[in-house]
Amino acid sequence: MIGRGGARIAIVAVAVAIVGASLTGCAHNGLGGRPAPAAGVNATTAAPAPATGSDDSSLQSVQNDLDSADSATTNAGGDVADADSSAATNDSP
Amino acid sequence: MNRIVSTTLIGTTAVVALLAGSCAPAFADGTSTPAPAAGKSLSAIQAEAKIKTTARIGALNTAIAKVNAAQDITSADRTTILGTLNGDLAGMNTVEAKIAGDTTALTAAADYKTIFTTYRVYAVAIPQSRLAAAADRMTSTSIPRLTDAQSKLAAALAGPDASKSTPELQADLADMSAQIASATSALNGTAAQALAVTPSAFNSNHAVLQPVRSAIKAAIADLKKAAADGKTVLAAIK
Repeated sequence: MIGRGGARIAIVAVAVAIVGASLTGCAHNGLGGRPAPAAGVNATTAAPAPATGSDDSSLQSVQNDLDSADSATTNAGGDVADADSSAATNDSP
Repeated sequence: MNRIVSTTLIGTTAVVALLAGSCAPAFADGTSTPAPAAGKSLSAIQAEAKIKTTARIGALNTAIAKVNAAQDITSADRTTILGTLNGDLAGMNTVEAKIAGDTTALTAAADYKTIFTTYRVYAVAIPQSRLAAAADRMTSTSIPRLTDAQSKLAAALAGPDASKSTPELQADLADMSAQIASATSALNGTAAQALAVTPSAFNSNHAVLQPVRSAIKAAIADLKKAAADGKTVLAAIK
């Protein structure tokens, strides 16, 4: 038979075991419920989100390329217009 | 008999005068003033020569300024173009001074002709410089930028924007590549071809610059289409 004193001791022992196990787990994992971060990785780093599209800077880079090409091609058209205008001027004695 | 001879002479003279008038070349520079013809006075030829050389000097200076301002002309082409334009500029000043110092109408008329046939400022020098500049702009800027854009758009549709890819967008990308390739092919060697044309080549064949002009215009159309394709794909991704 276990007396009332023994029961108390058993309850306290179980509680200590639970708290100890919990603390051990926290110490091992760093954050409860999450795996410990790899060495050099900040513990607050979020997991990467699934890809949902190109970022703004990538799209702007493409836009810049297209704008630059447009500008050069338009200027080339101006060059040809200059050439045509000059060639249309009578250059014979 | 004397009347017959006299009438014949007058008639012949009239026909010759008429033919001379109708065959006189059009005046250069788009003005309606006739070019100096046989029988023009020395002073008249000198005055017309001054007008012609002054107009060409102004056009050459404008062309030189444009070449100096252009950022995407290759160094070698810039050197060649400026060599021709500055050479013609010096030539115009030289021939103008020569004609001003001529003492006979016959010599002045011969010198006057060289303003056109020796330099062909309007027909060759300025057009070839602008056409070479156009080719260089597209080769050094338009094509590389469009190629970069096409690569980035293809990577986006194959990666983070794969869910937005459609057969139509893939067709636009393919057409963008084809247009860039077509322009690259059309422009291959055109700047050098333009700059190789000489006044003497033009004197023999007035259409000598036409193939270069056609190739450059085709390349411009190709690159405009390539850019339009790129904009379509980019708009779909955004």
